[in-house]
Formats: sequence, C-alpha cells, structure tokens
Amino acid sequence: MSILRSIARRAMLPALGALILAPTLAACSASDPATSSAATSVSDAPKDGGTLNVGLNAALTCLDPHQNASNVTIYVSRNIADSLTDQDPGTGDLKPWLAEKWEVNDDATAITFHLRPGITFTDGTPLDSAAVKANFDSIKQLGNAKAFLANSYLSDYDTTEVVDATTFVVHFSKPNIQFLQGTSTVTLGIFSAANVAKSADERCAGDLVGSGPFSITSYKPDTEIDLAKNPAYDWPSELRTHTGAAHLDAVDFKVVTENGVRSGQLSSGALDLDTIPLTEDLDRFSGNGFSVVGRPYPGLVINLGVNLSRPLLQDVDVRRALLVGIDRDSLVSNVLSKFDKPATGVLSSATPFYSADDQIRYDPTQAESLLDAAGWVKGSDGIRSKDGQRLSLFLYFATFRQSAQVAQVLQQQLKAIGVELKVQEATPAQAAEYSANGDYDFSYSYFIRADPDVLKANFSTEYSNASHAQPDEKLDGLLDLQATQSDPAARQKTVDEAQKILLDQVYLIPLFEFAQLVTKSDAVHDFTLDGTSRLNLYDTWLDRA
Amino acid sequence: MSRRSGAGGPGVGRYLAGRIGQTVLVLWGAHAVSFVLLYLLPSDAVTIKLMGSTGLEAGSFDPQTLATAREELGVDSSIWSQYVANLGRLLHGDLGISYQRGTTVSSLLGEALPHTLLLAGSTIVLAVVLGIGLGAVIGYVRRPGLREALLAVPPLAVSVPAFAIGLVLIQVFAFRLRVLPSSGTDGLSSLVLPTVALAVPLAAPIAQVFAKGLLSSLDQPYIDTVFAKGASRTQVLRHAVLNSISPTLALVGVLVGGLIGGAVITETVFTREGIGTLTVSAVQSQDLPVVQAIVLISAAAYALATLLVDVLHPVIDKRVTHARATA
Repeated sequence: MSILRSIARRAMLPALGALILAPTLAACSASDPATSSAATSVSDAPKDGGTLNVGLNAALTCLDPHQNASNVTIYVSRNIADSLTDQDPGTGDLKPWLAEKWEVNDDATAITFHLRPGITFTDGTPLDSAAVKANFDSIKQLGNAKAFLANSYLSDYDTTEVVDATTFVVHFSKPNIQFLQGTSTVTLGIFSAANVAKSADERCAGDLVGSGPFSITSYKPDTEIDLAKNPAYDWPSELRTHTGAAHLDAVDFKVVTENGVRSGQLSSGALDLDTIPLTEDLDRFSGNGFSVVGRPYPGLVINLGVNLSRPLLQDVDVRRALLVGIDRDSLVSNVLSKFDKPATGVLSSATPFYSADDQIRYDPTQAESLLDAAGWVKGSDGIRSKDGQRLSLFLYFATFRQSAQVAQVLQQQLKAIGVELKVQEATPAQAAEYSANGDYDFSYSYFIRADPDVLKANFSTEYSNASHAQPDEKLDGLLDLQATQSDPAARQKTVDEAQKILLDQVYLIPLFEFAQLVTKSDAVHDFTLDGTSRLNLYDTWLDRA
Repeated sequence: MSRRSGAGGPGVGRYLAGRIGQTVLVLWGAHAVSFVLLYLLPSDAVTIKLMGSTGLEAGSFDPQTLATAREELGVDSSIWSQYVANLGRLLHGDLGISYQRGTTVSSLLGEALPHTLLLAGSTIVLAVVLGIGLGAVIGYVRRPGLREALLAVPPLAVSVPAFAIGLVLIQVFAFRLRVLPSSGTDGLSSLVLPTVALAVPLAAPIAQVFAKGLLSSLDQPYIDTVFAKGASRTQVLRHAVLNSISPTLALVGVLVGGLIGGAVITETVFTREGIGTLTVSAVQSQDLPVVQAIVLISAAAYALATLLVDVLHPVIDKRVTHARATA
C-alpha cells in the first residue's frame, strides 16, 4: 500500500552524518544514567497525559491519505482518521471498528455495512452512511491522477446506496473482495462530509477532519506536525486494549531527515520514538533504556523485479538459475536485522493468504548447472559469456534501508555463479526514468499491502505489469479470480497457483521480508504496529521518571 | 581622476536606472534558464508525484491517468506555450501552484522566507563580527609567529563545510551538554547552532580579506606619517580600518548571495523551516514552480545585495563615486 521509496533519499549527507556521529553517540548513550534508570521504573497501570515526540525521516508532501500513501503520511493520518474495519496483525482477520458488522453478497459485488451508532467527527457532525458515501464518491471523483491507490481499492466502484443512517451498501460493477481489506487502511479512512467537500489541495495542506483519537493542531509538513487528543473519542476497534480517549495528550511528529541526528535525539531524550532507525543503530538501542519494536511489513517481499523484456533474461533457465543462486539466509544475517526474514514466498509471512513455496531456495550447484546447460561458459575473470556476450545484468535501486549493502551482497553472490551484476543507486528522478524507459534488468521492489490482491496490482498484464511481461491468460485469469473469491479456502488455492507461476516463470526474485522497525525509549508503553505495520498511538502511554 | 557629484545628482540616477535594468535582466535570465533546465530533465514531475504517492513503478500508470495528471498540472502543452503561460503568470505577480503540494507557491514562500531571512540576518551579523574581529586582531598583533598562526585560521575555517560544523555542534551542544536544541524552528535557542554553523565558513573569507587589507594599509607610507605624528597603535589601526573596509564590504555582498546555498545545507541538518528545506524537497520532486520561485528569490537577493554594497560604497569610502569618469 505504500512506499518506503521516499525514505532517506540523499545518500551523502546521512552517510557522512552517521560517520561523524556514530562513535561519540555510542559513548554518550552508554554513560547516561538518566535515561537508563527511566527504563527500570515500569508500572503496569497506563498513565494519562504527556506529549509523545515521534521522529519522521522525510517531509510530508500531502497529509490526505486518500491522495497520498507514503509512510510518513500514513503514520500521521492513521492517528486522526478511523476506518470501517481494523485488521488483526496476528491473524489478518478483519475486526469491527466504525462498522459493527458487514455482509458480502455471493459474487462480492455488494457489501453491506452496519455502522456503530453515535460516532461523531471532531467537527461535531455525525459519522453516518451519508458521510461514508461522500468519502467514497469523493475518491472516485478525484480519479486515478489524484488518488491512485484509493481508487485501486475501490476499483469498479459503482455507487454507495444509503439504506438508513447506519446502514449502507457499497456496489461494484465487478467482483471486488480486496476492497474489504482496503477498508481497514487509512487510505480509505473516513473524513467528515463537509471535509471531503473541500478541495483536494486544501486537504493535502492539512485541513482534515476525521473521527480519530487525535486531531491536527499544527501542520508544517517540512518540520513538524502536532496532534492533540480528541477528548470525545470512545469508539476504538476491539483490537485496542482500552476504551475512551487516548492516553496521550498530544503527539508531535518531528521531521528530522538526518539519520544520525534522529538517533542522537532519541538517546538524548528529544525524541521518544524513531520511526526509521538505521539498521546499524539497533544494537545501541536495545536494553539500555531503549528497545526496538519490529514486525515484517505485509505485502510483496523485497525482491528483484525482473524485466522480462530484456534480451539476457529471455531464457527462463537463466532466470531460474538466478532464483536459486541467491543465499537469502546469508544476505539477511550479514546486512539486515533480526526482525527481517529471508523470503519464503512472494508475499511476506505477515500477509493474509501467504504460503511458502519451495521454488525459493538456495542451490548454487543447480544454478551453475542451469547456466552451463544454457551454454553460458565461465571466462578467465569468472564471468560467463555466450557467443561473445557477457552475462552482465543491471540493477537500479532507490536509497532505502540497507539497499546499497543488499546490492553489494547480491553482486558478490551472483559473481560466485558467474553472473556479473552492475548496480546503480538512483534518485527518485532517475528511478522514474529507468522505470519509464525500461532500460534495466532488475529493479529493487516491494509493495506494502495486507492483501494478496497486491499480486494482481503488480503482475497482471492488465494492471501494472511490473515485469514487462507478455500477457499470460492463465496468470492474469488467476489474479482476476482471487479478487472475486469470498471463500477464503478457494481464494488461498488461487493465490497459491498464481504464486507457483510467478516463481516458475521468475517474474520476480524474492529476497527478504523487511520489517518496520521502531526504536523507542522505555518510557513509551503499549506501542503497537497495526495490520499494515504502521503506528497506532491510541493505546500508547508515557511513563516519564 | 573621477568627477565628484552630489548624492542626488543625475549621475547617480542614471547609474541606479542602469543597475535596476541589469537586475531585471538577471532575473529574467535566471527564470528562463531554470525553466529550460527543469523542462529538459528526462523524468517528469507527474510521474515522480504518482510514484511518490503510491509506491508503484512508473510503468504502473495507464496513459489516461498520466494525461489527466499532466492536464491538471498544466504541463500537457508544448514547451513554448508552457513558457509563455509561465512568464505571463509571473509578470502578473503569480508564482503558480506547487505541483507536489497543491498550495500556491507564494504561500509556501511566505511561510518559509521569514525563517530563512532571520537565519540569514543573524548569520551575516555574526559572520561580520567574527570576521572583522579576527581581522582586526591579526592587524593589531605584532609578533610575526602569532600573526602567521592567526592568518592560518581563516583558510582552515573556510575548508570545513557548514554541515560538518553543524553536526559537531549538534553532537556537543545538543546531545552531550543538552543546552541547545538539535533541530526545530522554535524560538531563539533553535537559531543559535544553525547561525554559528553557517557563519563560521562565511566569517573566514571576511577575516582573510579584511586582515590582508589592514596589513597592506599598515605598510603604506602614510602610516609612518601618522605614527610620526605620535598616534597610538589603536589610532593608527582606525585609519587603516577605514581604508581597508571597502573590499571587505564588497565581499559581504557577494557572500549574501551564497547564503541561500548555505541555508539549504544548514536548514537540512537542523531541520529548520525555511527556503533551504523547501528547496531540497522541490528539487527532489522536480516541483518546477517552487524551484523557479526560489531561483528568482536567490537571484533577486544576490542582485539586491550587490546593488546595496555598490550604493553604500561611496558613503563609506569617500574616494569612490558612481558618476562616470569624464577624463
């Protein structure tokens, strides 16, 4: 459902910053009795009050989650807007939130929701069927150009039929089962009818009125976004641990783009929580008054997106050799954290309908024999070639958690089986150019969404066609079919079959499940990550010594 | 020799008109060049915006979506009609609407500019105080060894980049001593570290030029005369200062133009609101209207600063005049 692509973009400054700050910071936090003692004074009863300072690594471009699904936008907006449903991070099951219950018709073209009565937005207006209809209609009207993801959740949306104040039916012109999971995300979060009537630009600029546990008090997208608790709040989903208003009085999100500065602020107490810590900082924030919270992101695992239109990748045996030529265990243990896991499927294990597929394994002997059989012969430099053509492939990647290190490890691992990998770190503009022109062999890809429909969105030739594939009727058919199946067992079977084809034809080379990591002070309690591994601060409380 | 003319004379009027004409030309050139450069970049703001807001690859967007998005941003026509529309809007004082943020560029600038002006102002004051102060000390010191050591300070300071100074200041004053905030735009306390980080590399050339001028003034024969008349070293120095301030002033004018560049780095390191952070996000997302407005402001600040210095020059140094030499 979103990107981490927009994360730490500038490569040089953070790297230099980390170099300068790292050694001294370590000394600083270790010799700091003030913060360490705060860790030990833990009481079980939640305390009300206090302001939580949360570090963000990038500026927001638009606060409206209907229009923007970047992580920073979701971190903030998730806490001001509620959703019809909530997704259990453990099971992937949808639980009642704004909607008490819902029914899906047989072919998943009409979904009836029953709203919990008595809910109001922070502007005092009621959250009723008409308000929900106004939200969905507004997203439809914004169109793909302004609200691409929200419209993909609402794909084939026909209309919302208001039955009464708390009952409404969402109609689709084609079956759409993935919409239900979409209702649990803030991308389809519900805002007041008067609020969605405002211009798209006004809402982007922070003018948002939701029904959530917090509301916006100050919006400076480049530096700081402040929230205050909504005292009237009393409608959390059953996944939350308390009722009534939020424990925290306020939340201040602070945009601090320098990674080293953010971790320094956490250790010196200026921040309570860092949403994007550096992987190499994790050990420093474990046990000494700080802790690390991590959960794999749901959705498409981090993978090498294969460009099937490229000449050297035409031979499926070459692609299969690459699939088994990568040692994922060693990759994860060398450059990632203990919260990240080697990929075992195309979906991460935190995604509903995930299943492992044994086509993903490390077998260098098989990789080499596949390449030998395909006629690729090792030259004096250890790189294979065939008819004077070197087996040299090109990967571009955005600056992203450990992406440069991962690229280096892949380079070494593939060299061992005689494949040369050239890598290029790309700015957002360069990535857009490579992606649009298609002059690359691999892209460093992932996609966050807690629903298997992520496979259709990425690999169906009728949708993104991320692999530049020729249409495959069987695969496209399976990806379409899973979107219509309201029976979980039937849907699981379809998803597994689609995964089998994606791996057999190597549309992608899964690498690892990456975790949302948060470093936090031990003064922060009951901090949780939701079904999409984003922050939900409703239950969170502060215990400052 | 040049002819002296009164402050309100026709020479000054003609000079000012010429300079304002030059300034307008510089602004137009900066606007045109930035437009062409951003237009020529291979990737486009629309794709970046869609990729940024969805996390999808560029190939994910159907032609219809891209066309609609381009139309909404007004970037669907030819480069010439876009340029004419762009320039026309500008002449009416309309800086346009940010591609990425959706808000008017003037409101973005209105929010950011005061913070940067405050930072720039405090930086110039501190840089001049530090630079002139150090320069004067170098001029006053008579022991050759100490003077040489002091003369080595400015080249050292100028070679340390502002962001490195910033990170060291954060480390010491924010994380270790915890006396000043490491980021933010709230109050004077948050202004101290960025000002120092930005002022140190700026003070260095000021000190260098001022000290050089001072030392060469002290070598002039008239200084011997002043000494011979029984003046103290401090009094002598005052004479020398007045004669060596002009090149320093000209340098300050040039340095002001570089402040926006310095603000980009300093504001990023300290996460301050301002033109610098706005520039970084606008350039990364190819937000053309915002980038162009910032280019215009930088060019205007530069032109204004040099103009101001040129106008002030004869006021401070009576040997200089703006009237054309009549031979």
